Amino acid sequence: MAVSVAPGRAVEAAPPRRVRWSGETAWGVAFVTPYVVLFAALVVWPVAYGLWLGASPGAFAILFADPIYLESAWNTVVFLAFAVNLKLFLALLLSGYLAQARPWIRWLSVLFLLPWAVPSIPTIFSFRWMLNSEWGMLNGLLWELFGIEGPWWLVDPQLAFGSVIFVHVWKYLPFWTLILLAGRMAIPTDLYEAATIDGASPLQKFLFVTWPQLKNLYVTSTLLSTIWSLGDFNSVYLLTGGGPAEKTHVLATLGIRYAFNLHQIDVGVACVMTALPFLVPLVVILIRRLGGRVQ
Amino acid sequence: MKRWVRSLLAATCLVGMAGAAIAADLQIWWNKSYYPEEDQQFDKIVKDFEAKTGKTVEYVMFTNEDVPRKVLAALTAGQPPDLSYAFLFDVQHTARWAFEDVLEDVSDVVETIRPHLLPSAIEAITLLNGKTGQKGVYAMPVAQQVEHIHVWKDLLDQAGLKLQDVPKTWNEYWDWWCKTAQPAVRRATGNRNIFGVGQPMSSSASDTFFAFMMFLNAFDTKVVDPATGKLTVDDPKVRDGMIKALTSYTQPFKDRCVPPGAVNWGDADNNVNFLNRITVMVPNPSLSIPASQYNNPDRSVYMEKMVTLEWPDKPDGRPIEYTTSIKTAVIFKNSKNKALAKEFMKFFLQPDNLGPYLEGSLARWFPVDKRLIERPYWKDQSDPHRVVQVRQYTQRPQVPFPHVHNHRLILVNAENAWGKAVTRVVLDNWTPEKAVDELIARMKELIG
Amino acid sequence: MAVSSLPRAPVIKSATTYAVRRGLFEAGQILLGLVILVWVLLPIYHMVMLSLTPINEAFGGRFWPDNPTLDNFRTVFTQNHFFLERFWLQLANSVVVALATMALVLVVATLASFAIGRLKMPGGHVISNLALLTYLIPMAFLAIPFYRIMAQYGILNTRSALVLAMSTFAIPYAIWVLRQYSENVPFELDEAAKVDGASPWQILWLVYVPLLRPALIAIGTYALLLAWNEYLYAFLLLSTDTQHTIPLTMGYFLVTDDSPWPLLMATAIVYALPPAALYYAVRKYMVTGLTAGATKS
Repeated sequence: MAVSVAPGRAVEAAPPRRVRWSGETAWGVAFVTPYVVLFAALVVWPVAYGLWLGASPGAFAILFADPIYLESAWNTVVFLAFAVNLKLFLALLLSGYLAQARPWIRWLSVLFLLPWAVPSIPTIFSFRWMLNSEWGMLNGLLWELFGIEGPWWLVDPQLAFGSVIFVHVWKYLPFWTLILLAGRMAIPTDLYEAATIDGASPLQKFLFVTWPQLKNLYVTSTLLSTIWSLGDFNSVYLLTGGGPAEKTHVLATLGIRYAFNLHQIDVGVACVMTALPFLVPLVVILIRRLGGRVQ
Repeated sequence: MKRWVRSLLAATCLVGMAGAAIAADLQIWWNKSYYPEEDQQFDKIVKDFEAKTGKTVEYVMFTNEDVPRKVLAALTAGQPPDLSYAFLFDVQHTARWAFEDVLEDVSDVVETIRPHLLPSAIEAITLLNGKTGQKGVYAMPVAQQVEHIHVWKDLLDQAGLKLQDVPKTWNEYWDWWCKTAQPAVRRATGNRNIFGVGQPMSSSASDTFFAFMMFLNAFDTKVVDPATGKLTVDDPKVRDGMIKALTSYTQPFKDRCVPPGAVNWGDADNNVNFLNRITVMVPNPSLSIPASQYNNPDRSVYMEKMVTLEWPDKPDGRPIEYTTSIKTAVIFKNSKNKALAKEFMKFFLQPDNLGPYLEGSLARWFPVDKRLIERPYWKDQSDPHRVVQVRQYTQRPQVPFPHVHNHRLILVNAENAWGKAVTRVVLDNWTPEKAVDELIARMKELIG
Repeated sequence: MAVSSLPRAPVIKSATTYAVRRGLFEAGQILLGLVILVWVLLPIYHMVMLSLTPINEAFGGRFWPDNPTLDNFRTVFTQNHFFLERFWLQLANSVVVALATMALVLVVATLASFAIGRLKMPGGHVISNLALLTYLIPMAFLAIPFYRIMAQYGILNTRSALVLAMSTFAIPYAIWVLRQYSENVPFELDEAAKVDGASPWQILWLVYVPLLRPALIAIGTYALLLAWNEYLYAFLLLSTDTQHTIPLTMGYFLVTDDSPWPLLMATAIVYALPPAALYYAVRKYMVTGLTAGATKS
């Protein structure tokens, strides 16, 4: 919180009285209007419309009667629990590694961002073909190098879902590492210098300097990443398409399946809406954390 | 620099916002084919129609699964195209749309060719409208498809096997591919990843239920009474037949003669795996596999190495029936230019246009208009695949898809409950009995 | 501060032990670096490898093609495949959509964040919190209603629809980042300019925008990449292939049976180069710009 207070402000004992133009508010209203219009037209209206679409109780009845729904809801929970936490924990560790000021590590961090910058379709397809159990490169290598028959990566439902999590982590780890890296960079170096003088081990430095400074950011990132990952359609759709046997769907892909494959738009929306009881508290907390403190 | 950036932003804003599509007189959403030849024929018909009528036609091609998706989205938005055609319509959507009163009655279009249509085509387009309670003509028949079997003859040659040695009856037939052909081909090629049977095992491919219908036929199993349209699955004999069909269908996978990836296959993947010689034999509901090799500079692939076969006889040696699917185009009630769409379809369905279109599909589809079947193209004896195909369509018994007798069965196809039962056996290790009971329960639930 | 209460390290290690430990540490560092390199590059290597494979050898499961070739790239550039008939036009569509999204996001978010953060307009706080509400329904979830809404606005099957959809998801994040970043810009600058008689418009252009340059570049890049790579919304909102962006074209390849995957990969690599280059060019702004806000909360 104290990390980036502008230096000039702390010095001033009493800030000068604000000078107001005539019509400052009018300017403000004018400036904010484009966003308000977009927000009303592209967020409020579609959301309201979506809620209206999903408001039929019959849709929920169909949904809960479908065994695939429960499986997908559970998958979504597992996906969020594993993918998000694994990703952020790795990001926390890697950000420490990449924060080192060595030339080759700088180059490494540039390469490290590639998964995030490259479009999803080809990279996830690349995974899909690499993981093919009969002719994929991975099992080909396992056979040639070790003489092992590789596992059926995308055939076994558990392995397939594990692969989905892996691909998600691969794709989004760079972004969150970047965020945490920036967080680490913002920690004043004199804290570390003091710790070094006190003879702190690297682990102690992490526990007593880095973590307390980074904790807030880490929690916020987890919240934000949870919400975004809930809407991650690509990792599932492009890698497994929800298969085998619709066993790797998450709510996002299942909703699309209902709406656009089975022609049950209301069930699709209902499917998505069942995530709201979980999502609303998250967003409220997030708004408190992000919005509340900017004054 | 800054000014440059600013003008760039302004320019792209303008371009981006002014990108509205120019509205044509007729909007068509059509199924993109696998080969340029088919699309080029369609393009020619559109151009001819435009020249004849002076109207503008805009057509968009989507892939097999994308046409229905886009149409569903568009129907929800109340803005369907004027005319649409998709390979998957008849098995997953048409009858349902007709029942829900979404489709325009097109009897006047069909009237122009009715005397020439095969009875199976007329049966498939005469659909019940739930709102009026009347049957009407709600779809326009373009072509038909049945299941074929393709084999890499050169792989068999390499393994010292002969096509004449393939057993003719059902159970022996599948066993042969699994237990004789697969090991022999693996030995001969030194490739441990070649599989005897390319049977789709997924709940995402429509190919799975196309093939499964043949297995039901093999065991004389009709899940719907053709006379009343009522489900027959409560009859122990029918249930027993379904169990036998499912057991037979999944056995090759259990015996490790099907690529494990088959549980994830989409509609193109049985083709892809066969064409890349991962499988020695593959069932497929159109001639798309040989068609893809028609223009291969190495003519021997099409003419000799790849062979099209009829399906084997039933377990007791009687000939098998082929389940026929009628490919249909539809016009929606909410379409803007229904009259022009009908005019286009009248034009399209004329022998001079539809004939070359189907022939441009490289014999992938077969006509439903008797006049077209008489064209020299289908009489040509020099094409090894076409000869077999013509025999299958003209000399072998045919049966319609079960949903023709009860439109609600289309829901079973749409969510691929058939494929789901298959995956229950191969992935979850359920017994076929348990999987069939789940399938029956789901069918009753969906049909109500 | 907890740090000062740490016990001092009492033992002084001998020089050799130190050297060994140092060496091990170095080796560990390099090993970890290699692991990261393989992790990041393996799928990308696989893409490149496939793009260099002749089409009929795509099923080899090989680590390196037997007969590497650049033919696939030639096919892409000459549009010599029927899925790629409009490659250049569709690439142009991608460029237009990405740049327009970037422009819209920058303009709208800059104005809004300025009004809320600097002009302190009443109710601004509520607006910025509402913006975050956009995330209440994640992107894939809004797809269904969005289609209908775009039809109502009469812009279905236009690139504008895709631009608006992408902007909807990029703007809230943009506003948030800009507000956080602008916290670092002293208010005194505004005040001084006001005293000198500058209008809000002038302050926006002459003070706010120049000082926020890193954040604007970062946000612009973020929006650009988001729109450049989008598949789902592009699929739903665009119909005619003259309106398509390249991700849709790439989607075609999955549902054909002659498996021209090497071509898909060649297309993908061509498509990935511009954002990768852009990313590389602005990488230092990405860290400072995108994360200035994040580090504080």
